[in-house]
Amino acid sequence: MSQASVNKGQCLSQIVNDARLTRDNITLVGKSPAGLVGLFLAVGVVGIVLTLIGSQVVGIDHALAAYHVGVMGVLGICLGSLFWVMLSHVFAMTWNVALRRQFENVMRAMWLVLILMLPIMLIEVISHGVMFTWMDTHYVSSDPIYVHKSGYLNVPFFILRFAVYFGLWLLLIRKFWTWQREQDETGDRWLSNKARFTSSWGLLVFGITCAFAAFDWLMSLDYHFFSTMWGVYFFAGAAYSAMAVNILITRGLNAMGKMNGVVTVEHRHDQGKLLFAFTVFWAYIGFSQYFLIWYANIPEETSYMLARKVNYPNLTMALVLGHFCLPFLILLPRPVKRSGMLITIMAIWAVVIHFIDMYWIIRPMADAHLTYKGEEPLGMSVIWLDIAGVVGVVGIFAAVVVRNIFSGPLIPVNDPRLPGCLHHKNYV
Amino acid sequence: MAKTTFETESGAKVFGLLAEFTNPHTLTEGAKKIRDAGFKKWDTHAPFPVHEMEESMGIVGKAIAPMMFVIGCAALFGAGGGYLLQWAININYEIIVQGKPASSAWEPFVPVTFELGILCTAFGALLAMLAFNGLPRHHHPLFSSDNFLRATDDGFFISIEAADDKFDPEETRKLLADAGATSIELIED
Repeated sequence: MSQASVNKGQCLSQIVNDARLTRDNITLVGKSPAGLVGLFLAVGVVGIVLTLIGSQVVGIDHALAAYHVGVMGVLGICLGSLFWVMLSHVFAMTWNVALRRQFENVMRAMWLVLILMLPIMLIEVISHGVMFTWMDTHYVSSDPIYVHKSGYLNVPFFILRFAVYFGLWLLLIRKFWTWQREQDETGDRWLSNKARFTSSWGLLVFGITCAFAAFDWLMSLDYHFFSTMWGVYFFAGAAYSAMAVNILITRGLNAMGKMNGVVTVEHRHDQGKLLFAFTVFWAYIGFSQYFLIWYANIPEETSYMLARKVNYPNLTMALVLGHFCLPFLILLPRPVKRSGMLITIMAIWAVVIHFIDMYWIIRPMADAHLTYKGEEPLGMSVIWLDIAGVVGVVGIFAAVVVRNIFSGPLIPVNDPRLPGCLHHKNYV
Repeated sequence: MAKTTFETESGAKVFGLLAEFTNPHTLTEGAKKIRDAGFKKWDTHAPFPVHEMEESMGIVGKAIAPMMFVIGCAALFGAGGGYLLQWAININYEIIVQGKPASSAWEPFVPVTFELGILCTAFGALLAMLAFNGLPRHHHPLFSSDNFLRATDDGFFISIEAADDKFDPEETRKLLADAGATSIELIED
């Protein structure tokens, strides 16, 4: 233990002597979040109210689909942030110590996603499936495809899984955040090791729950359809959008004159590299999924791709170009990743395209149900309701994240790896 | 500009000068002086990576740009070649698999195009790295100095080649001494 205390002493003295770590630079003390939180909250409430109006004026199917897009989008951002936090711990990452707090601030908003999910669960269960048509047992009991899947797709098990996923995620988030706050105060470097151990099994739990949550809340919208790559596809978008949100938060804080010299062009470069990496990863997984469905040519699977290629051709092309081709070519050169302005634009674009990706998944399924029931499909009509549903959820989510950011220091001030992070540099 | 060659009294061709420094710090400071003197054909040698040596040597990004161009060409060659290969064998004898005609579908062409692109990029990167480093080679004149073997153990060196336009046996030796070298030796080619 004496060795440990010596190391801790050295580490703290290095931090104390660093001119960049002034209270003014690494905290938001003296600034009030009220304006920003109020703005986002107002936008969110307007969006939610418009969605509610839409549910009466246009139809519950359309409104619920729009709201579902928003909730799944912020769930992806939240889960992706949890993933990045655990990845930093498990690899004992030095370079992103100063960025980790912003991932934590986003992942801490998971409770909000739980609350936002509750209306969906309630409406679906009470009305025996608006979007989740398999919940209507009278309707599907004669469907042999459903009967085969009924051991998994039934309402009690669905609710149990919902509770288990959120239970595990909130448990992991609570553990990491409690240790982080304790380390901020005490500087106990062993908490980093605890977090590292927890991350090692936490990543396993995350991988399984994230995949099955994606099966439950996205893939089961069309219960005929199945894809073993679905979980990875959702994860790829989640990690991508979470990194984009992290870039936006750190850029925003830099613009407010905070974290000068703490988060530098070198950190931005690495954020850009990972944003680029997950652009490619998403495309790789997305194409692999499409390609396997294309050459196997099984009706249950191809119906999914056909519904999107035929009914939403522009949206599909927008996704191919906007989620892969353009970001790939733009983010490829080194100067772009190091440019503050360009990387901010690309991060905003990444968040937007992430929601378009969710829209591409969810909306055609709502259409398919309507067609199946003999009603008019929604198509790309009444776009204001789609936007309202997403903006409502994102506004409230952003308000909570901003409140989290203002609630404490902007970096893990007593992290034993912080000095290394401050000297981080890319040599390539 | 006519290239000057230098010879020793016994008639051997001079490769250049090898100067030893005591530690990474003096090596870095010495490198900055050589950089500012405008030398081009010179190098630093240390047993471990010395941070910020690229800046001290003034070679940031200069070595990587031509290599990236080569790798980019290799990538385009691989991907383009991979596509053309499939196109060429399908144009005269179309292979229809599972009722999916190759001429109307783009999907089957993606894996081979992608994989050949990746393969050629990897080979291009490896071969370009070797070529730009002048590898493989059996011998280097610097190895004739027994002292230089310590570059893999505890020695820090700067070598300046006689082929550099600014090289002058007396002036360069003086410059290296001013830059903080503890010992300077002449290396024969």
